[in-house]
Amino acid sequence: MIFSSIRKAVKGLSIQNKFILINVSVTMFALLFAVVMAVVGEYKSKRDFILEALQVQSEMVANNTAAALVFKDKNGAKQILQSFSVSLKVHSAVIYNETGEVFEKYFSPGSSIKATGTDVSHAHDGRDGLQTHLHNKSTILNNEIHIIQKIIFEDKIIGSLYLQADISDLYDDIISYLIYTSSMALIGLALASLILIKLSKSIIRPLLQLTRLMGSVIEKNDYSIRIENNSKDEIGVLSQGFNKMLSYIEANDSKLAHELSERYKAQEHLDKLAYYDITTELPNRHFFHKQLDHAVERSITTEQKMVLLFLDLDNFKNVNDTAGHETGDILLRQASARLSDVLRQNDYICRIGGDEFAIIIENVTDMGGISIVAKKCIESLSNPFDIDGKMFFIGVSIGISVCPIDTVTSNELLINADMAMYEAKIQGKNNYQYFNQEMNEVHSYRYQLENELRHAIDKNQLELYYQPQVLSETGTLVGYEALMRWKHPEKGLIPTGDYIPVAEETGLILPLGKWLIDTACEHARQLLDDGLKDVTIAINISGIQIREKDFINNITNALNFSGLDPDILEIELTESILMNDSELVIKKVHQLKKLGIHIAIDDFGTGFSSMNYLKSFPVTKLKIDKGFISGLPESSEDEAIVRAIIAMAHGLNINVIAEGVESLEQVQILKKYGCEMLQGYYHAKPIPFDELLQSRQTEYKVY
Amino acid sequence: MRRYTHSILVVFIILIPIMSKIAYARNISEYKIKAGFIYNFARFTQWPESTSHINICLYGKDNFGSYLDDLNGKMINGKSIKTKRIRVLKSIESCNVVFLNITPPDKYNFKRVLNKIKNKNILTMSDTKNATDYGVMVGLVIENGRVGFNVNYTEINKTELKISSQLLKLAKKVI
Repeated sequence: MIFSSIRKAVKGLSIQNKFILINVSVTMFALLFAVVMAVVGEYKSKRDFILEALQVQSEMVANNTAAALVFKDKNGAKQILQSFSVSLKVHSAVIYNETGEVFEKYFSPGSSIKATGTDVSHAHDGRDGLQTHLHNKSTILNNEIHIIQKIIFEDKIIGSLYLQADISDLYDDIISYLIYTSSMALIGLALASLILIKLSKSIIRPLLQLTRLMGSVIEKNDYSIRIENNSKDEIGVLSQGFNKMLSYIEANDSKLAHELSERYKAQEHLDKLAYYDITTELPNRHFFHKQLDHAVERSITTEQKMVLLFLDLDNFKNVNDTAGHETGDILLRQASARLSDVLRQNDYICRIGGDEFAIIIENVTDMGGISIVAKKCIESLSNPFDIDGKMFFIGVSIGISVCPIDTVTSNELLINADMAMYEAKIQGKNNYQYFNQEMNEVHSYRYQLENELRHAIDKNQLELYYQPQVLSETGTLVGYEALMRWKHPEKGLIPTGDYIPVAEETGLILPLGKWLIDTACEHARQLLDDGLKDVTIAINISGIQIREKDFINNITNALNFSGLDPDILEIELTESILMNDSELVIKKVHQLKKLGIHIAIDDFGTGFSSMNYLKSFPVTKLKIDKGFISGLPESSEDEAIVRAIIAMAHGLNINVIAEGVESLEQVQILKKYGCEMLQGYYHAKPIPFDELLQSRQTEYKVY
Repeated sequence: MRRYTHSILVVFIILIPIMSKIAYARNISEYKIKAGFIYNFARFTQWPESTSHINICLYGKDNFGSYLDDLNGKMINGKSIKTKRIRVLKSIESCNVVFLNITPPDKYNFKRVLNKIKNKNILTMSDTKNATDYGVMVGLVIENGRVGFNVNYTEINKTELKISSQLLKLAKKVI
């Protein structure tokens, strides 16, 4: 118990104190050892000295008493024994004769008489004993020295001297000696300790310094501290070692710090990659979803409106397909920049898809402002994009949904904006639409339509109707326009306006278009076989279709399959198709023309017309949009426009056909202005092929 | 009384020879002791190396009797003792120790004998009164019923003989 508490106490001491403690303890033990050894040695040596002295005395006395023994002169012997009186220690000396009897004795004054009793037994074991103990014997018993000294005369033992001495003073001497040496030792210890304390400082100091410095290194986390100790001893070595270690740590630290910063950078970069779109440097979809969630939360918490705008670039795909992805990327970058310019600081824009962007606007107070933003976006994107000297045109369809008006979840917000955007597409693109609840229904209607449309071809629900085109002068049939009709078993005829946009949005237009080409060619074949002559069959081709890779092939294959001459076919293209990145379209149009196929511009006058293309396009005829025709004869503006179109077309050597001719007056006006061909209800409604085959005309009224 | 008288008589009868023996013994033991003294003295004397035997002679009246002869054959430091009775002075020269029992015991007579053996390594002893005064080296005396001796050291010094100092210490008188 005690030992453990002592040990604990010792352990708690500082190195200096430990050092001093150890040294003092060791010194103490050393001194103790020395003192003990000295005292013991002194005792032994004193005792031996006394013993030797007494032995000498005994021997001398013994030798001197030989004569007395021989002569049996007790007095003489007594006298000799008296010499022991000077020896303070001897308290009895007895001379025995050869038979072991006491011859003469001496007792020092004050010695105990009891010695005599034991004399005989101690000295002799009878006569024999005397003989056997030929050797002198000295024994030390407690405080007494007993010496048996043989008295020899003429080489014979004639007696013995038995001496008893008291060495109790010896003990007193030794004790004084012990006290003396102990005191000296203690003084020595004290002096040594003082010196030690002084000297230990010089040894310990470097160690303390080392400790202190290491302490400050740890405290301040400063690894640039170095210990100055150039001594060659172990502490010096330790200090050097520490210095090396600190240098190493410092270097490592900076390496680590460097690596860490590199890592952070890499992490940042990764984060950026994860969250940012490389091309446009806008946040990407991942970031967007996060941001949307937060914006919704904030909107709900702060009870402020938040608006999500969903932007889908129109005709971007065309740019990509015709001019390549690099151009596409550049265009995207420029488009993003333009959009960003339109927005305010706190408005959040990100790229969430191929040509899709999303804008989050928070804390909206006035919805009118949102409409302005949407308009600005459309305007800025409708300006041409100049990339490597080439001009590109795109538009944007925007869908807008509002939180919390439309919904309070980000998911629904997205869906709603998407539907609104879709509606914008349907409405002719390049516009913006606010989400309303009806869109849900319309959307689901459209969705349903889409699904059914997919199978419409397989289920033979599609039909081609034909409307005749006649010469205004003679009323002679010059061609038929083939029009697609979808006859749904339950819903009946589904309006073209409903499903064509869906088809175009979903890409279903391609199989539809192919079906159209194939079927029209088949019908053409049948008509020819039926005796039809000098008539063209016109089919409507969408922009999407003409851009299709296999478009030309499909046409040629269909023509070949039906064994038709290409010039029986007329392709109707709307103005807008030709407006946009004409290069591809122009190329294909030229290819068509080269094949001998006729080209007609449909709905002329309705698009943003840049009539440049008329110069370069090998156009066979222009179709004046029915909108202008229906205004005749009431609208003088329409009349003026119609007249202008016809004049211009004639100026370019292009024939003109009027769509939607419904009255004789219209016929007359058109004839007046020189419109070559007419198409409309006035002459015939579009009718199914079977009907046509059975009851076709070749002459129509034009009066 | 009668019974006791018997035992007393017996005791006396037994005692008488004992007592006489004691008396006699006392008388006899004196010369036994003295013989012993002679022997011992001879032992404590350092004889010259040339000595082969220790001849102990008696000149004069023989009071020793067989006690002296008992010394015959005893060894002293490897030399054996021969005892002799001498009648003629001349024979003294062969002695190592001579015990003189001169009559009449006076100085003149002693001088006469001692002159004869002057400067010879002979130890002279005697138990005549004042023997040492007369020039005898060792004189035996009786004091308090005990035999002691005096030593004439001067005389001893004239010879090559050496006496152990122990002996001198035991001496009653040394001159």
